[in-house]
Amino acid sequence: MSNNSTASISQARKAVEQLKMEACMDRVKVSQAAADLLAYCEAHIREDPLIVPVPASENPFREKKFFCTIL
Amino acid sequence: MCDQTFLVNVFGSCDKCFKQRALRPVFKKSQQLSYCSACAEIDGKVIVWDSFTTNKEHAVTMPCTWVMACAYAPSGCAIACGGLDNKCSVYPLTFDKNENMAAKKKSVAMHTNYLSACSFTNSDMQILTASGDGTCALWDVESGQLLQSFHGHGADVLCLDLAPSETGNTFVSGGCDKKAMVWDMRSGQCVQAFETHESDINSVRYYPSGDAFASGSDDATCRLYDLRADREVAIYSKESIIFGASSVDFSLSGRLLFAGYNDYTINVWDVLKGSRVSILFGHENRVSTLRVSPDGTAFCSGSWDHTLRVWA
Repeated sequence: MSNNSTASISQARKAVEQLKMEACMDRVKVSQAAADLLAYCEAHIREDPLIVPVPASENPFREKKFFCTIL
Repeated sequence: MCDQTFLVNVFGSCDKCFKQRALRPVFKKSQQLSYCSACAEIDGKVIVWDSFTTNKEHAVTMPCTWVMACAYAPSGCAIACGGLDNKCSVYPLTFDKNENMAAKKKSVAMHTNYLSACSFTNSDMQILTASGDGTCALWDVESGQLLQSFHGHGADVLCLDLAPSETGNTFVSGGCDKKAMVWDMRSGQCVQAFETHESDINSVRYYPSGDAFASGSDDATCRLYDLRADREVAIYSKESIIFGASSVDFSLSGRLLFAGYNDYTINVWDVLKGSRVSILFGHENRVSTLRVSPDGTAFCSGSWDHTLRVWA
């Protein structure tokens, strides 16, 4: 029984250490963080072929049109 | 935490083919499935496909059951895979038909439970693995040595993703303890932990800028966590979606989040607005995995209906 409690005490100590470490972290306000995510999106939106479609000639997954005619 | 201790011989009906055979119990996410040896060994293959021509380029038969994780090396010259064999093996890819790929196999990682995810770090020389034993580990490919191990999850670790930057040395892992944890690869310390999901986290993926990550979970939601603000910033869910999300990935710009669900569909979410953009039907069984191609032109989804579909 004392084994159990010493194990859980050491576990609890580790948890407290971990939480102390996490508490010291510098946090950015969500409004700022969200604005940065938005800015990143806006900046890269042109390069995203799934949002701004590339011309069919360059798209390797385009519908394969037939390149030969039946004579 | 699951520690595989011994194999028990049980007779009964197999969960897959329903025949009466000697069964091998398999523990995944603390749930026991029992397969007879014929069913359990059938699908131990890793296949490399050419996505434009749909040809199989390489096929390697794994010497054991279920392959649960596979990864391409950054150079494209090798693949790593693993699963119920508790190991991660690296196979160098060769186009020479005479060479037997299985012969060149190198066993890199050893865990005490199934391997759920693996990924090469920035080079071909190191592999990061996540396992059902609740730990993640960093291995050197050449020597097979354990470089760093990451303890902290209270249950199976199901997924991991490396930070996208070139100099990045953090990664995020998600597990059955509903936590997503961000780790420093050099020190082995957990830097941040997020526990807002209500069920197992099946998949985590970094936002392209590296400042945030998304997670998909059995609680039928996907959530976006911002690393600098240290909190959850968005939830992607709908009352009509009741099946868990098995896999998530971002489009190239990070505007779209693709999530594969256990109700056979793929939902596309607008990351910034939090609303669903579209729903994709096509699979005839659960979507188990999903990945956007590196150039962003398409994404591929794999499913229990035995197919891989490329969407563009």
